[in-house]
Amino acid sequence: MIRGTDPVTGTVAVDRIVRTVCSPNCSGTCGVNAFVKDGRLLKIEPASFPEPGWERICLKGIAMAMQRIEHPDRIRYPLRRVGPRGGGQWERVSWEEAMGDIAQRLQATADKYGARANSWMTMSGNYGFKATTSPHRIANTLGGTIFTHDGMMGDLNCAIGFLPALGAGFACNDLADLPHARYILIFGRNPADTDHSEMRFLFDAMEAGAKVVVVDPRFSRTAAKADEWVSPRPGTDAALVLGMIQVMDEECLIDEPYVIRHTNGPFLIDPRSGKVLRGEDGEPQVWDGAAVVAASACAEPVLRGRAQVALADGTVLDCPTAFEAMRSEWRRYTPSHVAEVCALPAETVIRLARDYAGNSPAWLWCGAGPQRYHHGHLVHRAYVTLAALAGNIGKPYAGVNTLDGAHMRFVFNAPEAWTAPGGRHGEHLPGVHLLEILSKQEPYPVKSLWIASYGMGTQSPSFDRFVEEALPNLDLFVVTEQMMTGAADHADYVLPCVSYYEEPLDLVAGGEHWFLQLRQQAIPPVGESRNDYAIFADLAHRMGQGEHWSMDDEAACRFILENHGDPAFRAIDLETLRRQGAVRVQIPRPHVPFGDMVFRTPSGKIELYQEQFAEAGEAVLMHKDPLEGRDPRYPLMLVSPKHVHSTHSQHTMLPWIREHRPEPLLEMHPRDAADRGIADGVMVEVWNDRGRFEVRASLNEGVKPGMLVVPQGFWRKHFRRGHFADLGRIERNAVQEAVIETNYPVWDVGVEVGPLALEDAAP
Amino acid sequence: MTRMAFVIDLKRCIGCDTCAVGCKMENDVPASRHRLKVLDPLNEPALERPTGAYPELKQHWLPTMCHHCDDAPCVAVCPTRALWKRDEDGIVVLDKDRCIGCRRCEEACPYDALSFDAVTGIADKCSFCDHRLAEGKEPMCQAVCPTRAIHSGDIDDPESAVSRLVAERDTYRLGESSGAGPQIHYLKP
Amino acid sequence: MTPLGHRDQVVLLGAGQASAQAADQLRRSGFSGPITLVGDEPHPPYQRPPLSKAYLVGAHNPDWLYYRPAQFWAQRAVTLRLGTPVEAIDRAAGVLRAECGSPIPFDRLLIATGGRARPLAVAGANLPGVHRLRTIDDVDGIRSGLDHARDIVIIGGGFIGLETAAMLISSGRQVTVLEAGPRVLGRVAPPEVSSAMAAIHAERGVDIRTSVTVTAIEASSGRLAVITGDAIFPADLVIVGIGITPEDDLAREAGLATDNGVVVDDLACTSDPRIHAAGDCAAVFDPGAQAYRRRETVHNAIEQARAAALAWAGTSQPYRQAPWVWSDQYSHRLQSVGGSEGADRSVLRGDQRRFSLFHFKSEQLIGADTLDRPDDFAAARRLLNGPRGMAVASAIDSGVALSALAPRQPMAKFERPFSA
Repeated sequence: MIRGTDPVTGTVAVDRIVRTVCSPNCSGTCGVNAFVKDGRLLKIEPASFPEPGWERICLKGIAMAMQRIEHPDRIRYPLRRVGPRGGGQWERVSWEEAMGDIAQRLQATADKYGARANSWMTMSGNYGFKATTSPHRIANTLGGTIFTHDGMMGDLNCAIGFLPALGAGFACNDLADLPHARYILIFGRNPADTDHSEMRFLFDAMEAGAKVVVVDPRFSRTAAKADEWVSPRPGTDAALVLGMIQVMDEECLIDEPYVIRHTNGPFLIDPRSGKVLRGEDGEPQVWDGAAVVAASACAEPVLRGRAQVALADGTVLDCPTAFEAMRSEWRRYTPSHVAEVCALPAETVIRLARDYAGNSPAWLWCGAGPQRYHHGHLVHRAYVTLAALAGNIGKPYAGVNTLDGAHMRFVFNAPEAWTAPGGRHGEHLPGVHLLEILSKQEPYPVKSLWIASYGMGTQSPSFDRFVEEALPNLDLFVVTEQMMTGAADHADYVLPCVSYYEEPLDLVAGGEHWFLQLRQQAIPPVGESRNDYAIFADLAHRMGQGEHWSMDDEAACRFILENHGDPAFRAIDLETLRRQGAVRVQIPRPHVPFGDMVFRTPSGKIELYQEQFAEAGEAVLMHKDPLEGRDPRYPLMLVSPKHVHSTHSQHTMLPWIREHRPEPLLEMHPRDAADRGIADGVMVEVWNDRGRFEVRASLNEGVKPGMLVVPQGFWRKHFRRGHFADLGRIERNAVQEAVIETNYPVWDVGVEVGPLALEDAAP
Repeated sequence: MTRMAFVIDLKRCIGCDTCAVGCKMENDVPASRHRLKVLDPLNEPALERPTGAYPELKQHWLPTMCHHCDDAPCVAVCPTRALWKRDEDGIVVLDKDRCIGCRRCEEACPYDALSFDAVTGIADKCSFCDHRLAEGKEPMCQAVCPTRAIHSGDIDDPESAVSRLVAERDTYRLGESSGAGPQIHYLKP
Repeated sequence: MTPLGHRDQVVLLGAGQASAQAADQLRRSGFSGPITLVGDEPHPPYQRPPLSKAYLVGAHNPDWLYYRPAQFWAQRAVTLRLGTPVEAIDRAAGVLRAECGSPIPFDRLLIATGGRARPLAVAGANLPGVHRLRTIDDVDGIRSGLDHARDIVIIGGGFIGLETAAMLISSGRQVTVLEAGPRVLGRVAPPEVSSAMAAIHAERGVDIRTSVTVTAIEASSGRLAVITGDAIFPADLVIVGIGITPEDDLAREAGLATDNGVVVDDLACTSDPRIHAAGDCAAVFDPGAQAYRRRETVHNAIEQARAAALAWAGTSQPYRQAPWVWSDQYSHRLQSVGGSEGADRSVLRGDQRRFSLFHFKSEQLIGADTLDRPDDFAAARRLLNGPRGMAVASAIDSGVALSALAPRQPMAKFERPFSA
């Protein structure tokens, strides 16, 4: 029977169809028509957009709409813990009681330790602007601390690799323009799994004749579709790119006029400091063939070689150009050296370099996988360098591409008037060091933590240590959630929040497209759920800060649009958005990042040479191996890729998802398995000296020998014991901290694996 | 005469299971039953394993549901005419009111297209979303496929998308030797 | 036997499921010669099972019951001679002699005359208001009397009787089932099934009386009275469902071997090589019972007819499948395969309301009865029809998934198993 069919008349009865948005961090941000009957979702269908071809939805969105909203584990009313934390005993309380108590305790903490002792943290579970910015807003309102999510998200090195070079943390062509590219080189990205809503553009490109190459240690779904698959050792992408650059250099494939004009390649470097040689006025100096002159005064500086610079005191400095300095590093990356570092055939490096440099437009598409290692910022710096040396940055349908779209512009440029109402600011602490900060209570005491839109119990590192070492120092731990997650299990209060379909009104900007959409309420809130904004508004009022929290949902959305820093959003009015459901953000088309060749770096050019990291020894691009994987006790690299069946931890509990992906499997190459006496399908133990977990093994030729693959998103309870996130560690990285903060190196994890001892193996 | 057929582009199919789940939603298919399954070459879709040996590997996915065969074996064996191929559009329809749960269709079908209710034994299978066709909409699998891998239409109309794809691209069908005349045409991966 | 030539005339005597199936199979096998289907009822072949179920109370026209839509016969060049009672099979002349009209010649003949409802041999059995339930006309007659029927008595507690009771019981109506034997479904199911179904009917308010013999039916003041040894049951409507007797007179009179049905081998062939028989009228040798038995099931009609048609087409495909049968009563579905006669051990899975009963004889699975457990039924059927059986231990161990013991094998092998 068709869902919603009336058994007597045979017709499907629908009360109304509401256009709204599904928006977890898959970044698809799909417009959805919600079919509603008697206040319940009957089904959803892809909604249309102002332009054709953007209708889409996926199995996750469907499963979430149909199975998460009324899931038996859905939290329907506020819960307060009874007994010890994590004991599983809860009592139902009213919102009045919950919020009254929470406000009181937050106030007491503020009185005793200062306002900043109350903290908030959010992640990426909901792209709705109002929802996702509310924690930051409340922290600012109350002078509390926001734990940033930048580093903890685990893909910050994409931005850190970009920023010093380009002056921008992200860039991406419009994916709908993929068919204009002739050569698409995909590094560590798996669009078939993680950009599947845009994958059709890649297929369009292939049908138009583009060649697609995927670089990924494992044979991903995208690799299965590509023309060529290159499989380097995990964490060695920078070496591979350096190898490509070396070949391009050898074979005169570098676009030298471009490099001269648009990068700091010609700048002379002071060998004593490793910094750019500057004149008295602070201007960078170049060699014009005859003399050392200011860069701005030289139309055609020399790119290669060294200049003998006489100083006033008579010393003569042997100054390489920045290009030369970088060259002395990449020269080491001969094909045979790269073959050894990356465990790849040497000919592959050569072919990649020639194909990339020799095709135009050559679209470099970079994923977050390769940067999930301690030195991962070097990886994305390498991608930028490669694209720049090929003259591809600022070129249509080429460039170096990570992410861009309405969401990045909308949320990352959030109006201060909204996020810091009344001009009040709280504090920021790096969320990536949450564990350390809370357990040591440094740099200052933090006594409460409130998280929202964050599957902390599954997605954060070492949650077991958080429970042991950090949680005892918190007087209050509040979790806003829809489901009893691993984090909610340990909370003092769990507050029920609405799903996308129950949210009254919110603005949702496209993760990988250029539309702004309106989230409109399809069904009434389940139980006593409230939206994030309303929850914090309640808190603000109780703490005497209600002045800026009195707008209703509609007024708030209007305020956000009218006050947005980006004129493209100010140009959108709520009425049009309500009528159409989606509005295209007006940016020039085709969208060519850096098309104006303006870079917001100190020199105004692409800074391939980064003098600010000279002390750290990273002025020039280099490759550094992952921290782990060399210890003979733990020689295998453990990688936890994203996949189509779940966006992080939001979907792994849904029955339809589990029908297709019943359990987490540890994938390993048959040779590695045979070496350890592991047969296909047996339970195994994976460990290092930080933790262990138990999981079923699956032998898979698609996994490069030397690594293990476990799918992310499964909860602790889905493993027989432990969780793979227990096995990682976070070491501060000075360069990353200097730029933003340390990135959580999710996959810089060395482990060993073995069959479970027989007596432990029984279920 | 109209003859409804599917064309599925295996170059584009990424095995995401959205078609299978969309079908479950649209047609209220009970838990652990499927009208549409996405297979892989090793017949172990949940294990996601390619064929070959590292690094010479291949992997593709193959959605399959009722093939609405020209000479459907299920129609031939059904004792109660619960299964019948419609003259007007070639869709093999299942009238659940007539189904007695004997499973002869299951034994006859080369494509494992039928599933059965755990309590009543009544059959269930892809209906070509004829309820959606009646409203001018496409079958749900086609509507939700993110890569636009699924096409449907009248294979007897030379101008239809399905006819053009079959004419222009390399296609194959499953189990041609069965003689059933299946109407899912696969574009080779 | 030489296969059919395209000039040979095929005649199918009887317009039921067996004949319909034979016609369909003949055309599938490529036979393009003339096929004539002869039936004494005015209807084209129709399904009988719904007569005691959906058709009994539903607002259906007869064409809802037909096996094939009207245009099917013309499309396949099958000539229908309906409403044509046949008086004799003249084997020597190779013709059927009809009561009216010219003789119908045959080169091959399928006797698929089915059975007739066994009459109740008591006084009053032909009174108005007393109905049999075998044909469309029977049911149309019942339906016309239903509106005012408050008391209904059903004589016979077999599948037909119980299915009819399930359809007719409703608030304001009294339904009584009178069964001569000690339990309902006595001839077709084991005791556990009888008690389960009896309990279900009792819960719905059906009054079941067993070990009751009807001695007479009388009319009194516009109503009927069903008289048994102990009691008198008033009734507005009486339905008699006490089984069928085979329509084998024509065969016997033509000199073919009969034994409570037309005797056939496992290719459905009679003692005359030109003549086959299939369906409710045909009897096969049952080695277990050491006797000729008819199988009054849809499955039997289909398979015997197929065997006959395939034999004529030159393919010998003996019909050896385990017999199966189903019955829908209320929302429950009984499904049985094989038999339990001669079983020395029966294993129960499930509970009183949903169960499967597996019957073993000398450690071999010989049959299964299931109530609302269709997966077990399907597994049992595959096990009985396949090379492997099932161990008693597997039946006992509720942890063993039976469908895994006999996994479904796709019929066709895919030509290119995915390595394109």
